[in-house]
Amino acid sequence: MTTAFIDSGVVWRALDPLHPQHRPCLDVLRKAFLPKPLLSWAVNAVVIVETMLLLVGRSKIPAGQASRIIWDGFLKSEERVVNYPVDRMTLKAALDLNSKEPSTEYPDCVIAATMKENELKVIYTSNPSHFRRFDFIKEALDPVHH
Amino acid sequence: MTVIKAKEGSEAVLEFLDSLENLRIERTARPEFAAVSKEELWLKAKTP
Repeated sequence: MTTAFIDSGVVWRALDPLHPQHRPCLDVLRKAFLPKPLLSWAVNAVVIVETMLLLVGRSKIPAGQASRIIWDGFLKSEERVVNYPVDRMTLKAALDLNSKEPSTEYPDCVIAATMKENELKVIYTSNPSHFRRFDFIKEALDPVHH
Repeated sequence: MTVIKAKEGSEAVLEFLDSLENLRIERTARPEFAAVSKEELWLKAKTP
């Protein structure tokens, strides 16, 4: 089964039913949780931190409810959502990537470094251009336009 | 006695996702869905 990275913008849109792009993002997100899953999701701490920031800061959902939504609607499934660690060497690799691609924001470099370390080649993101700069990422897909 | 096992893992997540639109979600203010850069997102999170 394919494991694809998923960025916070997609998780946020999928988990907030009021977001104008909720439906296409939810359709993609739920593919991992079907009885016969089409893929499994890879994340790291950056994705979960950002999703929480977005649900609380942008969607204006109280932290307690946002926490439950992230857990019950995503992270709870240990078998379909793999959380990859960000350790010292991941952070170093991300710093190196940021030196080479200064226009890419550091959180995206941490995601890219996590993908490289774990040989993950596909990411679902609302900002595909941020990740197409890295040659080790083969596909950067936006669920809204995919 | 019948023991009802709580749904676990992917099955429970799918059920939750499919009920999301009917969930009563509280909002502390009007949502802002306009695009925001990650830099702005992180900086705003740290601003008191």
